[in-house]
Amino acid sequence: MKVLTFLFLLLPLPALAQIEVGVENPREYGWWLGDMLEQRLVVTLPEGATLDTASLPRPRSVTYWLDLVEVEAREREGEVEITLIWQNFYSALEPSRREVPSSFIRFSDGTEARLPGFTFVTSPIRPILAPSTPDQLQPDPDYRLVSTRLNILGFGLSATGLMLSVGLLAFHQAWWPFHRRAARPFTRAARHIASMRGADAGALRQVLHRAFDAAFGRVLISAELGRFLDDRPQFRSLETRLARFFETSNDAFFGRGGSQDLPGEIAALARDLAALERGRR
Amino acid sequence: MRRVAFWLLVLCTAAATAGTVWFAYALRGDMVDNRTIRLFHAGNEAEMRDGADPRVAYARALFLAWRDRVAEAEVLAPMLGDAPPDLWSGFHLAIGNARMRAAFEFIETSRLEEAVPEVELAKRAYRDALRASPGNYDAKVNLDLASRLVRDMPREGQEGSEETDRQPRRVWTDLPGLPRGEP
Amino acid sequence: MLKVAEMDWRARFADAEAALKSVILGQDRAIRLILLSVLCRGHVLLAGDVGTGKTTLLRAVARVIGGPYSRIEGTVDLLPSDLLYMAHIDENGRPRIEPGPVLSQGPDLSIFFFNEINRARPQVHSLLLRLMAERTLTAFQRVHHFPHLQVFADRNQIERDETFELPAAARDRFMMEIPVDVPESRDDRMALAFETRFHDTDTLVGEVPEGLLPYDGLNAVAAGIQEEVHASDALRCYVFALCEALRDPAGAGLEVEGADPARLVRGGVSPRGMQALVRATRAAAWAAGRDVVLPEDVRSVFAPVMAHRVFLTPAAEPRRERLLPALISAAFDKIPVPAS
Repeated sequence: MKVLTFLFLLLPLPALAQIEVGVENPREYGWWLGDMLEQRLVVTLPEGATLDTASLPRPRSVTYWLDLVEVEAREREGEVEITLIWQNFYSALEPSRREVPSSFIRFSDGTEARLPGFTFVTSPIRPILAPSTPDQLQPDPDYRLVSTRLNILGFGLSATGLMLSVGLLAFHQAWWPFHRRAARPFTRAARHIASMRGADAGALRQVLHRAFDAAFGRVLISAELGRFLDDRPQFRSLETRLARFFETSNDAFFGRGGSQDLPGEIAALARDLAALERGRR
Repeated sequence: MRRVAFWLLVLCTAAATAGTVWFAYALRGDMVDNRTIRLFHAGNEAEMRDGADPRVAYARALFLAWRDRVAEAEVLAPMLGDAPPDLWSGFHLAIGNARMRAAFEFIETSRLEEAVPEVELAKRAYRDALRASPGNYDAKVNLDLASRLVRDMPREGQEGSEETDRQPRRVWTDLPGLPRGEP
Repeated sequence: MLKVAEMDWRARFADAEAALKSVILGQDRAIRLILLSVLCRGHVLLAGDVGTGKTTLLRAVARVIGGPYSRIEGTVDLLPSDLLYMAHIDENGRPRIEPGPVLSQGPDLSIFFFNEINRARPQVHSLLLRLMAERTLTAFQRVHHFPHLQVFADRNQIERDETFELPAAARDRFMMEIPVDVPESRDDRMALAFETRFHDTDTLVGEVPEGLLPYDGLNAVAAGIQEEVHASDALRCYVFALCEALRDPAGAGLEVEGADPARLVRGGVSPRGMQALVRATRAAAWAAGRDVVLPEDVRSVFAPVMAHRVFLTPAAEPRRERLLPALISAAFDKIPVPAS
């Protein structure tokens, strides 16, 4: 210590003169052992120099009763703000003034600055005559249960979301219990047709025709196919197949007993219409 | 737009399914952990599962520390991992208390030279507890108590000398087990 | 033999339609319906405002068909005998009775136009009934036959004073009631107003080639069409279901805005009406170049053939103009086709 002071005096005066250290010390009274004390220092930087961070005090056990817990330096325009956090472990028997030592920092141009220490009064936490017996010992901490609240909340929310989205999906796709949804006539027709094994093409056609009626909102005849496609442009990709379906239908029902296509074709058309209707394509 | 609706719903369903499964798994883990913690609390030895919550390791540490198996308890420290500071603080407090109980035990049987290192270890544990959580008053009180049992010594040439004079006189002023002048 | 001739007739039909469209602007649907009635040999009631070109249209159609053409104006004091006889004083100062408008053209009379028929008294209407139903008349103590006769009548819809509603029986004998409204398109209306070509009706009608659809061949063609054009079982079902729906809207589950379907229709969908409908649909299919009837043919002629035959309940009759089209369109929307 004395050696340091001696060296200090030998330093050229102008180098010290231009460095100003602003200090914001913790309050002076009312500290207990274990408390953290925060000291903030603002040091002006010498012209064109930067802080040599290696010269900052290291967090360490400074003395048996004092720890330097955290050192933080933030360089700003022309100055550096240093925050030192100390922890007091002095077990006082009576209120006692303690002195936190000063330290030095160095700058890139070789100049040094002193970070002043400070004093504070720490007080005993127990009466001076309190016995040091096992029954005075504070008990072990309590057991802690894992908090399930967040997971329950998350589970509840995601399960609700799951039910909701499955419900919406079922509604959108006309799955059970929305399988009879009126707004999905082609889906219903495709399922109905799939269940009509061995039925003749005419019966399948009629099921699909009723689906067209439902989708159009009124009975759809071949002459109005264009208007239907204007109303429901999503089916336009099937235009040629739809035109052929209606043409064949006209032949089958109103013609002189002409061509009949395969039931499989009608089922395939119904499936494609159902897929388009439910936004799968 | 109508195609977006379908795929959006599929995506939502998938996300909600993943979330539900994940949370259900986490919740099950929590429940298993809480059962384990209750077993420790009730004084039973129990197995810790892999990836358990730090509170399980904490509970086991409390369980072991209370039963004076300090060494085993201290080994659990890595398992606390990124536990919140107050958990760490409690962990160190429990170990400090265990050390203190051991020290008192030695003092009862007048084996002071064995008591002193235990108290020192307890003080270190309490300091750790306070480092983790400066507001842990139980640790403060117990550290104060331990410090009065065995005063801290300034290291060689480090601090003013006026205390070093006083301290030895005070150290054992109210050691338990010694006569306190009561009739 | 007929088939070859029929091909020829289709081309003639198309020519006639094109010629009429070039002369009568904005009345495509009325032209098509009138030509269909010609193909069915059915009488027609024209309904429309004054000055929409009904007379011009009829004169042009008469020219397309060729053959003698005669007309009479309906008035309150018109007597049945005025159709048959014409009494006048000859150059010698003696009263003379000569054949009236119906008889004057002889048995070849192809079109008889009764202007403003609702101004004539019911007695006149009843005379007309026989003429339309049987195409015969008794005058000068003998029966006159008019095998090619087609009656067109025109109903003024604006005035209600001094008019007589057509009796149900008379209405039923008209195959169609064809609306002749002001052309929808703005261009057509402007052209009609400003182009001098449309100012002189005589030269305008003169532009139409005469006798494209010769009147004396029409009966055979009409019979051929009814013979040749196929109406399938499914289509018969459709026609029948439509007519049933019109007769009993509530039973068919129709919904008409602003009216109780159960108390809307009083009657009028007669077997004669259904017969006319079938004839008209076959003609429509033929005109569209097909030999089978499709639902669209039925829809295209359903309203003109059926609407004027339907009698609404007294409560609904004042709103006929709105309710009847709504009823028919509800039937189109509701009656499934093809259905078993």
